[in-house]
Amino acid sequence: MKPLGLLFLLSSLFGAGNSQAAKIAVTDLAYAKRVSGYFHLVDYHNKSSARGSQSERDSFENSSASSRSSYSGKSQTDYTEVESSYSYIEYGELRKFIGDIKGEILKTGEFTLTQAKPYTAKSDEKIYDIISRIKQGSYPGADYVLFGTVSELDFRDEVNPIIGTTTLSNTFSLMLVAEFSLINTHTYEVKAAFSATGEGQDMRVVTGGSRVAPSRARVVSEVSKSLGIEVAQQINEQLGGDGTYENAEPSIGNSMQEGEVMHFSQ
Amino acid sequence: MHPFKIIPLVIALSLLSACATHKPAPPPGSIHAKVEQLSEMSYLQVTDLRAVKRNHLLTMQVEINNTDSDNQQLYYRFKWLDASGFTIGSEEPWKPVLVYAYQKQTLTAVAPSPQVADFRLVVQSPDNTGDLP
Repeated sequence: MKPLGLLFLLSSLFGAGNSQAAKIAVTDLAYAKRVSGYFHLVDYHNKSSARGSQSERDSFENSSASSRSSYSGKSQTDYTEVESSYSYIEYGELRKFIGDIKGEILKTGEFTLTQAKPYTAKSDEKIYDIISRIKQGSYPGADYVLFGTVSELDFRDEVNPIIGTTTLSNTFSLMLVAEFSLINTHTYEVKAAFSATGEGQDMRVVTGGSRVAPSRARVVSEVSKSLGIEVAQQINEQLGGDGTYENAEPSIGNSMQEGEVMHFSQ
Repeated sequence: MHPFKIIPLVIALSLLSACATHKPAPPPGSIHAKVEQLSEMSYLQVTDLRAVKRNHLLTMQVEINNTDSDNQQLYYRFKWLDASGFTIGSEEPWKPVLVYAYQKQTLTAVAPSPQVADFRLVVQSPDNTGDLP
């Protein structure tokens, strides 16, 4: 049975025809976030009442007169002040950034995709129990699940002087690091595991005093695209693909990567 | 000689003369492909040229070598091009640099925009040969 199983696995992974291509379900990126808060509650109640009465009696024949008056007052104050801070971990799925991952996986030509059910249950740590989610049927028809979790999400807004000029570079950037595991839904074998980075920035050159509004949409779009490309590359590498997949769009506007030095010969 | 026999000879000669006056295009990735001399400089040479992308801006470093025993005046400016080869921004002013005798002078420049994907370094020196570079 074992050789047969291996044969099935290989044929499902590297099937020549699209009908035999392995089916992958891509989960939304799971995240855990520590939520901290502070509250200060002041409860103040004041209740007061006053009552007064006066009576007079005058009797003419006996020549007697009496008068009586009374006054009573009551005041009650309740004051409660509570101050505390709280912290808890929120679990959930990021409903972003996976569109381009799916697109790039399809471009490799090795796989077909199936739709995963989103995790909508109560926010708890069970979101990471991928085996339980597979057993619950969250990934119908999938041979593999690409399970991704967010490691870090980092927004930066920096202003730096450009050396040799009087201008400044205003860079608004987002970097997302996520860890992925490609899990067989039948055997729970991890076929590939890696972390991938998505990076995007909106960089403007400004002169002193001028103000620019960065485009968050452009940054998010770049992060999504670059993350998708890296995920597809990693899957292709780790599963020993035939190398046909290549990143069609290296980077926007320029083939040079950040930090890369180009030396021109004589 | 028959006039029809002369025609191929004339064509061949004109082709030969064309080859003699037009130098072959410098290979891409060489300094000559990136440097434009308005006239061949007699004593100044671009000996090193490198580019790096820092903070998404193309940053250039150029080394100019003066092979003469006298100081030499150099004027230079950059042309910045986008990925399609179109110029970005207006023309830079000429920048004067005095290169001392036998000195190797380093020049640096930063592209004015992250869209800059290519460049040309335009140089001229008053002491030139007057020939095409």
